[in-house]
Amino acid sequence: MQALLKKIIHVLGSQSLAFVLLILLGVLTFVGTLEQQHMNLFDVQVKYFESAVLVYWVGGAVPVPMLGGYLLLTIFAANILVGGIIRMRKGLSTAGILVAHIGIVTLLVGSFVEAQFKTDGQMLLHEGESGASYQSLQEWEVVLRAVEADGTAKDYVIPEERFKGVEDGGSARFSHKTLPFDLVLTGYARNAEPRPARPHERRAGVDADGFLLQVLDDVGAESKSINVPGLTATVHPKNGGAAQRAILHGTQALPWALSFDAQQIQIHLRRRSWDLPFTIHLKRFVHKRYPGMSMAKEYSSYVTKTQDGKARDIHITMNEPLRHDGVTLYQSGWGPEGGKPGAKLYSIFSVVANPSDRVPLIACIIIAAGLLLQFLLRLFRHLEAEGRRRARLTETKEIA
Amino acid sequence: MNRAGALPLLVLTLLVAACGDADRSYEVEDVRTYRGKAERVPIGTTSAERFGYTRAEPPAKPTFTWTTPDGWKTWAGSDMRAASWRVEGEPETDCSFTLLPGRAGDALSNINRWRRQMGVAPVTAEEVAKLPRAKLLDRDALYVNIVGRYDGGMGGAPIEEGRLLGLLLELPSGGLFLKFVGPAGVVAAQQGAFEELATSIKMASPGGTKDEGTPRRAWPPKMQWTLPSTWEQRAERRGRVVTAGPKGAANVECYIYPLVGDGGGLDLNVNRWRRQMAQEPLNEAQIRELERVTVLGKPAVLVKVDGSFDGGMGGEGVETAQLFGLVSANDGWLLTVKMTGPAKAMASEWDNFRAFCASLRD
Repeated sequence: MQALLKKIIHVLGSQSLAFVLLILLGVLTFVGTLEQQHMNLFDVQVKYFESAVLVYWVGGAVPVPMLGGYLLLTIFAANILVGGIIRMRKGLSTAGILVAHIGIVTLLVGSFVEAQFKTDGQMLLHEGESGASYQSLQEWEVVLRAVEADGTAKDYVIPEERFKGVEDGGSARFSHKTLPFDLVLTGYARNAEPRPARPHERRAGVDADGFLLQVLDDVGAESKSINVPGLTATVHPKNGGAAQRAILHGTQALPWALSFDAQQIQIHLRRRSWDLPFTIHLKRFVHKRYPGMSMAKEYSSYVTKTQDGKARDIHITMNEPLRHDGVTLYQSGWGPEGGKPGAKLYSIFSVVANPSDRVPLIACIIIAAGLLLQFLLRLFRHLEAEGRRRARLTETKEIA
Repeated sequence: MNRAGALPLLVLTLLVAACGDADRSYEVEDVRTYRGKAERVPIGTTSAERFGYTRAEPPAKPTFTWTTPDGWKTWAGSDMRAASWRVEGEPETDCSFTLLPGRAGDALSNINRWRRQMGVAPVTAEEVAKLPRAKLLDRDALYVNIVGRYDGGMGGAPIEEGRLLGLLLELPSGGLFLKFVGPAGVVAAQQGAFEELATSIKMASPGGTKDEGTPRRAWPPKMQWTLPSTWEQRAERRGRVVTAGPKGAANVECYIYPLVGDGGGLDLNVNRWRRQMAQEPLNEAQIRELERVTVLGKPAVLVKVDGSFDGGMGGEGVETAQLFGLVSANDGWLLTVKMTGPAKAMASEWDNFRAFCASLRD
């Protein structure tokens, strides 16, 4: 057993494995790049670089199983940790390499943290508006908003990964002890449109309040449109009342609303949303155009950030984002398109919350420091050797 | 397989089955306090309203008043009828007053339907035009008097020597029919009472017939326009009122496409166009801010979208494209005007597009 463990550690820490992993990562990057002809960027990222294993269809006909970026980088991190740090011969001559390896492992750990905990999305504010949350561009969620008579409310949030597996006849039931009903979600479609049911469909009872979901093909790379999901929600009151059913869709103008005594339950299907640790108030949005053109030359937002009662004025420009508490707000856009002079404008911020956002910088500094140390050590050794060689030469000449 | 081997296999099978997507249960873990005051949504909001479709209310039925002739009595006829009468003591008689909406109210086909019921040959449109007239709802209605063997109509008993008196009034919203059928002798004796009944009928509330007197709208809606001097009219396409575009720029086209009813509404159409251009849909507030103009006497929304055009309904996509659009809700239909093409070619067409939209008239 011990021998087997030793063998595994030997293989895990070997340079040959590092070589193979780098080749596989190169192939994965190449294939993932090719795939962007047919799939949108987000889907490629999920399939190739955030997966453990995947199947690549050569010519759409021959399946080739591959290791995904997530698994390859995990093995690579273990390979460097075992071979490049733990088992590496330690001494002054390898100190720089060791530091560089620590930097690489730091980078990979940072990437892991990012993959696990990073959230990103957008926040749109009109002049004079405040915002304290941002919305994902790719992920969705079902939210049960329980509104009390006095207007206070609680959001019960169901993330997409909980219900996106219910496409093919399956269902997912959600409950909470303070909710007066159970919610069952079925028929999830990643891209769909609601449409009025036809008379025979109504007669067959397959509609929900006269509507059905028309499932659409997923949006491909060539279209660059967006997928808008839909699903069927059924509410089962805990008091034994009749179940009610409705379709939820990503573009619905209003949530599905039900009454339970004085409480109103609103059921939303919306872009996944996260709260910010502070509030942003857009005081003024400024944009300049190139002379004689509608193309924007420069745009920026004058905002007030308020946290714990403390307000601070900040100017966010395209090159100067707001960084605070692990959250970064970038100035990424504005609207409305074709807005006339004097029109009320809105500003769009890209928001990224990444607990490891500084890790790449730190890792790069460590790697650079390690390499520099290694080069300097080599240089010193070389100079030392050269000095000795010259001394020996001088001695030889003197003797001669 | 021995029992010791079968047990782990069974457990494994159950575990695999449990891991499937079939039916799962979860406790909601993420509960957040909503910041601010939540707005209530009207209870009873329909899916149609949530998805931007206007609720299709069934048209109200018109109601009528009349004076039942002496010796006649009303009776409960079918739901299709506005009223039914009979001559007292003559159970074979049947007088019905019916409104048939839309094309079902066509005069020629209804007269020939009656003639078929009476076992006589059909007539032509020219012969119908020569029929005598009598008053119904203060209008001149076609008056038919047919003698023959009545086949009983829709499930009634046949009458060997029957007679049918009928008044038929064509309205834009359909046809009004006053039909009196029975044994020939009885009907002849009651002809005066029938005509009295016809003149006594008045409309109490118009219901779905409120558009009386206005012509039935042709489809697609008729309208006129003026093309910019640099544009040309192109071949007709199904469903479009007109297709046009700049001369010498075949990849740029503009067309008027009317949609029945509310056509899905303003938001749905604007965001459909934005999706075609690979752009994020606009929310309600953003749509409210779109530029407004007046076209065909109605407020209209102008849209200008840059992006990558996916070809719309099966057309050819354009990588760097521009889309101009106009949406306007009219009475019973939605006007859409759409222009697409490569951004470079579209750059100088915005004013032409606006001028074309502004030129639309009835």
